[in-house]
Amino acid sequence: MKPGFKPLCAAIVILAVITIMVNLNVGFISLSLSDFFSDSGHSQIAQIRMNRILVMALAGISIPTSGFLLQEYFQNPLAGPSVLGITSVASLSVAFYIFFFHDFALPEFLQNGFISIAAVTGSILMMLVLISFSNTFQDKSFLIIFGFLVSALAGAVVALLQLYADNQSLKNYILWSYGANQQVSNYQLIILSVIVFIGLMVSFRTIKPLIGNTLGIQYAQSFGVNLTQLKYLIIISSSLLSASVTAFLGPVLFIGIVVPHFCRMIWNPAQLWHQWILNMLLGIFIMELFSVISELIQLPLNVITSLFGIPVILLMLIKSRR
Amino acid sequence: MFLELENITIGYQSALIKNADAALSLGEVCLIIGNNGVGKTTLFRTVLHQIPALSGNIRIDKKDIKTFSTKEIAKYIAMVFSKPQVPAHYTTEDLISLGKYVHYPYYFELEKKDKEEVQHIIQNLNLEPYKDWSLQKLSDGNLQKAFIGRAFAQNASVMILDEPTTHLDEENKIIILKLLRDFAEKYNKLVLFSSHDWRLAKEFADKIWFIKDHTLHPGVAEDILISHQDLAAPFLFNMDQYFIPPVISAPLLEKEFLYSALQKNFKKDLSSFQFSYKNPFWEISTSEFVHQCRSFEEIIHFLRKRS
Repeated sequence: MKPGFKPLCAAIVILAVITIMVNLNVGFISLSLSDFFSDSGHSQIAQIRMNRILVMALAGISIPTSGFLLQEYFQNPLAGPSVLGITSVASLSVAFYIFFFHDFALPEFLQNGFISIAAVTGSILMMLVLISFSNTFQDKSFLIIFGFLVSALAGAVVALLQLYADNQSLKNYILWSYGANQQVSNYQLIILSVIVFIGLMVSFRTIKPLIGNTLGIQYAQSFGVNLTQLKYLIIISSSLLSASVTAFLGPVLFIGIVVPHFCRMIWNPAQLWHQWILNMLLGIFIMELFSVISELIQLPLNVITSLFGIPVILLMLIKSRR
Repeated sequence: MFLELENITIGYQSALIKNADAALSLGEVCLIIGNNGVGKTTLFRTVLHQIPALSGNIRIDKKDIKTFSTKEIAKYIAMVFSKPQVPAHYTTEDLISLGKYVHYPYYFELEKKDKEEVQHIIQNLNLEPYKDWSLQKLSDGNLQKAFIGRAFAQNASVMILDEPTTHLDEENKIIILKLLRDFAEKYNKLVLFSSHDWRLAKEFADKIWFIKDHTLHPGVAEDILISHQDLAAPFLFNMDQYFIPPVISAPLLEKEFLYSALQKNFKKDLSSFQFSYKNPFWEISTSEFVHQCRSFEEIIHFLRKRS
């Protein structure tokens, strides 16, 4: 007999809470409980760590959800937020900002703020392009090809920019793309949560039509699923969810592919509502875990996620070949 | 009449079927026949209101389908398409449960009563041993049964199936066709399906809609077959224009087989011969001689020698 869904969720929540506790306590300086609540000498560090926990949680919610939605929509287990080209266009606009506008003497906090704005703007631009093009091309494999080509183009332009960039800008860009930018201000945190919240609300509306879409277009139409609306909802929610986090953490890759896959292994993949919830919970746990590892061994977050993520994807590929 | 076509013309830019009038009532099984591309699937899509009719009206339960949204139509009509996309992670049970999808406005998780109904359908289809199997592991016959089970679970008054018997062996074809007939009789449903296996399918269908030359001919199955001799008399098949058959007096099966054996081996006029079957041998006679043969091989051999 399989365990129920609620006990499974409870177990993941407990694991997530434990990693959050651990995460609060890793870093150069050890904190006591009072630092989080009273105005002691370390309370600023406590604040930074609190924000780190929250950003990781938001990333853990949004990236896997975005990957999950895209995988279900394209019926392809290797689809992810990077597939539509959204992450790469976000990276491109950040690169543009860092390489061309670094001369403006801006205060530190504004500097970071502008990086985020650049990334979100890039993602939203890409999203608009996708929506306008997707109207002319009904075939959904077109979206994947289009995203792939745009990714490749954006990558080439970024490489070109890097070639001619000065040292400081190059370092800034690489740090951002490593996901090293984990120190997020309260203000940025609010923007991030608002975007993620809107993205989640939109994604909520996609689950029912996604279930109707599992048997293909013909059946979806015979169930009365509004396919055009579904396409828009998928593009909007997945780009909002991935854009926001890309802006603040750099292109966090592979989590969006790996977490949905794990969820399918531990619970019936046909039950999309359950999968949706599971993705968020497991996403929080895994992001917090990666954050702990990243703090402990002092490596950038995106290096960690790639080191752990890519072997899993390779395993998936090998398994699916059989 | 539950489903009515009134002077309907369907197609895309040009009309595929013109001015069709037909009607079916609940409890009836109707078979649609016609060559590839005559508009069978287009007709289904028009009835589902996925594409508009070029002219005319379609009524379900006395209401014009133009007044329905596609969602409302899903409560009247359950579809089984040919060439389905088989989802990677679905089990037989998941697929059949999906039939209940249209009855849940927002959240989709089966209530107890629906779960029991799904189990009931699984048992009726003898899919119990396979209910936890991935769809991709099922045989073609069981996969088709599972897709039909999904349509059962949708609990609609009309079920439309696009070529449900293709890719199946004779035994599974009969299982599927029998299932459809039982369903229509037991639950007073209307079943409309297309098939190229009409020789077999006619045994299970009350009505036939025969589509040819942009015209739909509706009627009782046997009436339609008998009035279209090119359909009803398969033993008149002729590969070659120089072949003229002899006079054959034999029971239906023997007659068909002799015709088949002759028409592919002799591209000439055999009308001077007379064949009659005197169990267990054939008697071949002309004005000049009488000869007996015990097998088709002997007949072919004999005729070859004579020419």
